[in-house]
Amino acid sequence: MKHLIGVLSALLLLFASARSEAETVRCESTGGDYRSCSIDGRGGVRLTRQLSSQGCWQGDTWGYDVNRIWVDRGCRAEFSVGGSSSSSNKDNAVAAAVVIGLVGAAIIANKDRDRRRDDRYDNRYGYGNGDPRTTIRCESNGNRLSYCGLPYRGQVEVYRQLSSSACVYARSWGVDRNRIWVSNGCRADFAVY
Amino acid sequence: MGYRRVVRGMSAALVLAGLFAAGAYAADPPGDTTARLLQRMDRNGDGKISFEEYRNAMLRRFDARDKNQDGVLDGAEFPKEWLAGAGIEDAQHKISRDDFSDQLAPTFDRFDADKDGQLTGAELDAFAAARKAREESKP
Repeated sequence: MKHLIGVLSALLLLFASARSEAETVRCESTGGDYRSCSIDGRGGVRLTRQLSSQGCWQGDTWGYDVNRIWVDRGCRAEFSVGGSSSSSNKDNAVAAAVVIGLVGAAIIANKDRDRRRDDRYDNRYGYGNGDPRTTIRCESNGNRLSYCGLPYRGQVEVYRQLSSSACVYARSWGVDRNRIWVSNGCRADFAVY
Repeated sequence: MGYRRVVRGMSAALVLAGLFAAGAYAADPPGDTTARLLQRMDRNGDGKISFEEYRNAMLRRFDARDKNQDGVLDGAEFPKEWLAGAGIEDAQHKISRDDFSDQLAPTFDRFDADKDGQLTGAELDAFAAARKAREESKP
């Protein structure tokens, strides 16, 4: 019994210390370059705040192992390292309304594009809505390497993966000057922003 | 005289057609709305929206709207329609990127009924219809 209590309190202590040790680390791919940040990742890593417009996709443009977080292709974010998950419960009604407002804008913008009509929300002030300027389909068939030309320079991201094979940056897709390359069965629509 | 009447009749017909079109516009089947949202956010094409897909899409939209890139949506960057029906007294009418960012998870969780980290099926329909539902609840 004493042993059990001892073990339990040790576990509790461990848990409590792990909890208090949660540390926020900012890791940023500036200029679109690969960057790695030293950490003690044994307690796990969570992305807590994305700072970039450019995508942060785990396993594609960010990841971690026991001693580092890496980011790539413009992903900039804050990460919680080695702590229990604590979600902020403070509800912000205005922020919530804006989230829902932007969801609505996404739907309506799409409708406008479909029907070329009524642009009462998004284009009233000539505001961009966050949609890509264009999308380009690029497909690696039979695992072969293939290339697709880019019409102009811009940030390129996977917009929709079409293949069951994963499209992972630098492994099965990439950007080489004015063209996209895909390999290993990655087939996707790529967004150019 | 007769000519005028015809013109008047035609413009009435046009107005009616316009109203009809507006009605059709408002009465989109929920499936269409959901499909449009998926088209915008479903990066891996699995017919669901994960938290990661939603976070990326929403932040990109926020930043695109923030024309002067000061990390705050205010003035014309923040259409009044967004607060319509939300029942909020908001004198400031501005929102910082950090506040917006912090609200992404709680809002997602509200629609993720089964708490699996994905919006799917009815959850997705409710999410896609949220703004319209709110506007219709407007007093």
